[in-house]
Amino acid sequence: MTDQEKQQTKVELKALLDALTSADASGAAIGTELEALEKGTEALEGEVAAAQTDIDTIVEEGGKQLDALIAAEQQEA
Amino acid sequence: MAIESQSSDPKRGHTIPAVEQPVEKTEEPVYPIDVAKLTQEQRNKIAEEVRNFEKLNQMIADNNAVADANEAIEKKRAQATAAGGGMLPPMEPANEKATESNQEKLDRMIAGNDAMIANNISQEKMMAAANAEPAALAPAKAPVIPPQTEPNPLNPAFENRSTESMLDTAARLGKNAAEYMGEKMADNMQYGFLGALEPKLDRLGIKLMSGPRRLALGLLHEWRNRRASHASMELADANKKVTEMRTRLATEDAKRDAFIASERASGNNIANITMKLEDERSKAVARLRKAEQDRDTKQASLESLNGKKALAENQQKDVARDMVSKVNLHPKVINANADFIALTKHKENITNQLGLWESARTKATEQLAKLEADLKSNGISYTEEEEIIGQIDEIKKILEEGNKKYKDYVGRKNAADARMGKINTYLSGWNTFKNELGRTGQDNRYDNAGEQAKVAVAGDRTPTMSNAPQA
Repeated sequence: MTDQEKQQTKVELKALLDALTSADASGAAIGTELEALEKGTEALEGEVAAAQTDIDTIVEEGGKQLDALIAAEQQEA
Repeated sequence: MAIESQSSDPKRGHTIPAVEQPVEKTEEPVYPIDVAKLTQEQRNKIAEEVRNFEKLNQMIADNNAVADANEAIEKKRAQATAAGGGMLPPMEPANEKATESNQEKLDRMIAGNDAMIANNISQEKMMAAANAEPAALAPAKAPVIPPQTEPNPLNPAFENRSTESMLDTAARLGKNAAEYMGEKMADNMQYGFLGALEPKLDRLGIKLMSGPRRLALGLLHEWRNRRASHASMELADANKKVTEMRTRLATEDAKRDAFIASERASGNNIANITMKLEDERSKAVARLRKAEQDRDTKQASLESLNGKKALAENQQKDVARDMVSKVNLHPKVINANADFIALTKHKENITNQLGLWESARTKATEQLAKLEADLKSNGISYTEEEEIIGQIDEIKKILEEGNKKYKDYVGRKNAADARMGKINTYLSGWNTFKNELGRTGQDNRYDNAGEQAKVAVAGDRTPTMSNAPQA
C-alpha cells in the first residue's frame, strides 16, 4: 500500500465515519421521540378509558329515556 | 349480521354463506363433513346451534298458536254478534269487493315485512349452521319458516283482532331474538377486536344500543307504520263507499223523478208510491250520512295515528340527538380525538426519521463494502495498516450498534402503533355508535346496527357526524 493510497483510504474512511456518526446522532434522537410517543399513547389510553366510561353513562341515561318512550308507547298501544 | 359474503359450492348445489366467525379457522370445511373427525368443541357447537334452532322454531310455533287462538275467538265473537241482533250493517257487494282487494294489498305488503323480520332473526342462524354443521342440515333439524299465508302475529288481521296480543307476541319475539343476539355478541367477543384489547382497555366495550332495545324500537316502528297504513286503507274504503252511495242516490233520484213525472203526466194518482219512495230515499240519505260520519272518524283516526307516529319518532330523535350531542361535545371525547391526531402525526414523524436513519446506515454499509472491494480488486493490502483497520472496525461497530438500536426503535414504534390501532378502534366505535344513534327514529334500520358494532368505520376525527339527526 503506497502512502498515497493509504492517505486516500484514510480520508475516505474518515468521511464515512463522520457521516455515519452524524446519522447515528440523529437516530439516537428518535429514542427521545419514541419515549414521548409511548408516554402519549399511555396517556391517550387513559383518556379513552375515561371518555368511554362517560359515554357509557350517557348511553345508559339515554337508554333509560328510550325505554320510557318504548314503555309509554306500548302502554298506549 | 355476521354474514359478510356468500360463495357457491357446486357440490352442494346451493349457496353457502360465509360467516364472520369461523368455528375453526385452521380447518376449511369440506362437504360432506366427516362427523367422526369433529372435535368435541365442534360437536358442542353443533348441539348449541340445534338447540337454538329448536328454540326459534318453538317461538314461531307459539306465535302461530296465539294467532290461531285469537282468530278462532274472534270468529266466534263475530258469529255471536251477527246472530244476536243484526247490529252489523250488511256490507254492500261493491264495498266488500273493494275491502277484499285492499286487504290483499295490505297482506302482500305485510308479508314482505314479515319475511324481512323473520329473516333478520333466523337467517344468520340457519345459514351459519347450514354452512358449518352437518348435523344442522339433517331434515329433522331443519329450520321451519312459517308460510307467509298462515296466521302471523305481525299480520294486519291479527293486529285487528287483538293489538295487545300482537304486542305480547312481538315482545316475546324480540326477547328470543335479543337472547340470540346477545349470545352471538358474546361469541364475537372471543374473536373480535374487543377480545384482543390490552388489559388497560380490556374492560371497555363499545356499548351500542342494546339488542332488546333495538328490537323493541324496530317492532314499534313496524307497528306504527302498519297501523297507519291500515288506517289509510280503511279511510280509502270509507271514501269509496261514500262516493258510491252518493252516485247510487243520485241515480235513484233521477229514476224516481222520471217515474213520478211520467206517472203524473199519465194522470195517475201516485201519492202513496211517492210517500214510500221518499221514505226509502230518507233511509238512503241516513245511510249516506252514517257512511260519511264513519269516513270522518277514520280520517280523524288516521290523522291521529300519523300525529302519534311523528311524535314518537321525534321523541326518539330528540333522545338520540341529545346523546349524540353529549358525546360530540364531551371534553374527553374531543381531547381524545385531538390527541390521537397529534400522536398520529408524531408517530408519522418518527416513522420518517427511522426511514432516513435506515437509509443513511444502508448507504454507509454499501460505501464501506465498496471501499473494501475496491482495495481488494486493486490488490492493495491494508492488513498491516492498523489505523485503517481501526477506522473500518469503528465503522462496523457503529453500524452494528445502530442496527440493534434501529430494531429496538422499530419494535417500540410498532408496539405504539398497535396500541394506537386499538385506540383507533375505540374512536371509530364512538363514531359508529353516533351514526347508529343518528338513525334512531328515522328509519327502521335498527336491524343492521349490529353489523356496525363489529365493523370499525373509517376514522372520522371531527367532532361532528354526517348522519346525526338534524335540528
